[in-house]
Amino acid sequence: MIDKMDELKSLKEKWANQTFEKHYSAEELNLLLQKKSKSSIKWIFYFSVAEFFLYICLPFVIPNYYESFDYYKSLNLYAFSICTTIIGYILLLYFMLRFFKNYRRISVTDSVKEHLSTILNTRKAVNQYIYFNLGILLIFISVVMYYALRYDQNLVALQKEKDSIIGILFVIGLLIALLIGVFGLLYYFIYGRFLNPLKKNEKELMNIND
Amino acid sequence: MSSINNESEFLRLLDSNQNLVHKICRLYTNNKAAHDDLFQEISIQLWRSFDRFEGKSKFSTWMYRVGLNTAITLYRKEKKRVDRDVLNENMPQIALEEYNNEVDEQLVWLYSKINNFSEIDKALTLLYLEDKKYDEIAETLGISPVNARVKMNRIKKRLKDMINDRQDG
Repeated sequence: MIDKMDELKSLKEKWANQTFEKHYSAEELNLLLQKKSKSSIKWIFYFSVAEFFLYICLPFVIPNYYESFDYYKSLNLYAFSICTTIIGYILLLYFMLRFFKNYRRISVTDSVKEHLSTILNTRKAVNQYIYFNLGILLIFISVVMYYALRYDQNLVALQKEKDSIIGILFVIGLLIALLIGVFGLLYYFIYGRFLNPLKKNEKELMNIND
Repeated sequence: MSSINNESEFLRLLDSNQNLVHKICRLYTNNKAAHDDLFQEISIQLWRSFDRFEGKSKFSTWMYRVGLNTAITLYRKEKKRVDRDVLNENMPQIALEEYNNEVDEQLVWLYSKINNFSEIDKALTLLYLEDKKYDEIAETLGISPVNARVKMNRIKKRLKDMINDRQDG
């Protein structure tokens, strides 16, 4: 038993006295400080700002932007389309502010537990943001499709041929899945890659709390 | 304090404490490139938050916080991590080869063992090996001193068991 205690003691001594091959000089340290940080949290906020401005610019960039509202009007969905657009903007603004708050709050000088909590909050906010956006998109497309089947004269005419109903439903389902998939992937590539490495922090926070 | 004075003061402190930063890097990485990367990131984070240090807490507490926070949460590519883990599990001697400057076999063994610890356990082990007081450990991690003592006892036991296994094996 004494042996083991001694070994632990000697381990501690060796630990205290270990040296490393690389010892940076003051000039080298100074050079290190000029390099760019690899921290990724700020990018989540930057991307949401970029996304917000992209949405603001949409009406000016997409040539027939307002004509799509005429189409929704013909489906009796004018108010609905305006509402979902406004909700989309409000949601984006809300999350942008939340990301900004998190970005400001995250500080490496916090205790390890606090730091992990703030980072996990950011992750939660981003996940919520993605789910809200995909949810609104899903509701929007589903409602538009439902009304289109009833009021779009071209589609109504098509439905008169019995065989084509299954085909139409199939195409609509495919279209919805495709759109959700594309947006899901897009969000994954923009935000997800910053979030995956943060996932393990959840486990670590539990480790510190137990 | 002028910014030049501030900077030279910081560089002096970083220089005299760089062994500690190296220890953190060595604990949280498996090869030299990653070690250097982490060293750089911790240095940058320390410098960026230096004006918030203001001597409120002990310099070492502040340094442990920034160093550990950066090491635990720094973005690393998932795939690389998996590769490293596999490499580490199967061939510790190869994974550690890049660190062959360490002649002390006991330390090499210790690092290879701690490498499989969770990130928080690595932090706890570091603080234990550094012989920190419960108060400082509690302040660094954000837990109560009582909890810090419990965790330190657990880590101590784990290290002892490791030594036992090694001697038996």
